[in-house]
Amino acid sequence: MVFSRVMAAVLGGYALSSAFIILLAELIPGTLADAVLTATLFSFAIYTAAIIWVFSVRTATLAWGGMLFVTALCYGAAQLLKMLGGAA
Amino acid sequence: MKDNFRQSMAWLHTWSGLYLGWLLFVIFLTGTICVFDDPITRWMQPEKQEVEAEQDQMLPLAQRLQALQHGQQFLQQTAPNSHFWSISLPSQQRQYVRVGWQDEDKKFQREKLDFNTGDKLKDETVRDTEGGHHFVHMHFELHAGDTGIWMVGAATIAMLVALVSGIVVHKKIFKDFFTFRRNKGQRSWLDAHNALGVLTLPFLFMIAYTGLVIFYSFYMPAGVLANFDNRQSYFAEVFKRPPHRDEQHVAASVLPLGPLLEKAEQRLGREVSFMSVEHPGDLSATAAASGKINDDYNKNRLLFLVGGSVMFDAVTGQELDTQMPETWRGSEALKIQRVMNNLHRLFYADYALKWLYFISGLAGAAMMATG
Repeated sequence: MVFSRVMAAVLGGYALSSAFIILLAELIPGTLADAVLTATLFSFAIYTAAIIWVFSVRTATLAWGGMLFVTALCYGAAQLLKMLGGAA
Repeated sequence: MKDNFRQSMAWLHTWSGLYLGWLLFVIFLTGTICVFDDPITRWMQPEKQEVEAEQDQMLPLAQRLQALQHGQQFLQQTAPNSHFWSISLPSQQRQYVRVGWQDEDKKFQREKLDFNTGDKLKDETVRDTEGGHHFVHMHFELHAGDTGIWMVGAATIAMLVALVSGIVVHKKIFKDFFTFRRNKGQRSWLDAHNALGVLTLPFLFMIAYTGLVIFYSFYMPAGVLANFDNRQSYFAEVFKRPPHRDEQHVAASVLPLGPLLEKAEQRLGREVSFMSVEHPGDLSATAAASGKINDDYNKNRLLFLVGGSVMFDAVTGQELDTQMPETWRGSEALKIQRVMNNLHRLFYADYALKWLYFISGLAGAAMMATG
């Protein structure tokens, strides 16, 4: 149980942070390189917050679910924005 | 996990501390020592003649040109097909040419040469030591290359988690800070842990976060990889430098570097202290001449600015790119990253601030040990 939760924190949290910065880079104005760099600078705070959250919820399943859901949400939103941006 | 948030955080604080505290302790202690890496090196080489000068001065142009010629000759013979050459020119404190190159195994090699004769310098008078720099490598990669960098990164994230959970655990943070019960065994250790932790809390957050930020593109490449073909094209845009020239696999010899150095000095209005050549022997070869860094200018400035550089086509001698001394080149967000880098590595600091970092670092290490 603890092992699953640690994995949710380490791997799930990393995936979530990665997806989050991809989305953030789409939202931050300015040049692409600036947006990517700024988003990446936030990533360590996101990662920390994600790990804290994983260890605060009631069950490991919920922790995994939360990580995967937010990761998918961020990544999906980023792709959507990219598509819209590409079309416009 | 547990019944409430605080209990979960207490559990997390305890176990992340127990598992990774020992590693963090090593990173913290060596990092603290790194504040004084140069003085340690000097201490380990007492036989070295110190030139008492705040600012190291470059040797005159004629001697540097001679040094450059010997350096280039050596590299041409030793590593004609290397990917990268570097030549550091002699100054008053370092009266030799230091050449570096990437060998066939992509390992970086270096050698010191006599700048008058070009002979390899086996300096008998000053012992060979990495000195204080040993601690720098221990601190960020544990002498284990990329694996070590990942381990340090993981430990640092755990440290941020431990800091946040630690704050949650200590609801009476102000009162706890002033509590110290002597000779109460475990209780005393915990009081010391709390006092030291609270005292250095801002420093601990800053040093952990900025440490991660130094390696941001290594630790968190997702944003870069999702938006750029590769890291090189990303860095070209962030640093606003001309795109990397790919190897063409057409043999071409590198021009004598001397005239390029003189041209660069005229352009920059500054002595050149360092030259490098990328892809020597290939038609795509470029040579860069860097101006001497102005230490006085950078003192007490958080945004470190280099001494300028001129880039040439190393085959034709054509000037490709110029950055003037003490000017900023790069994207706006990069400034933030560079300042955070500087906050961690203290290029700007004088001795008072270095001692403050040193003491905070020791207090942080003691906090981990008492916890």
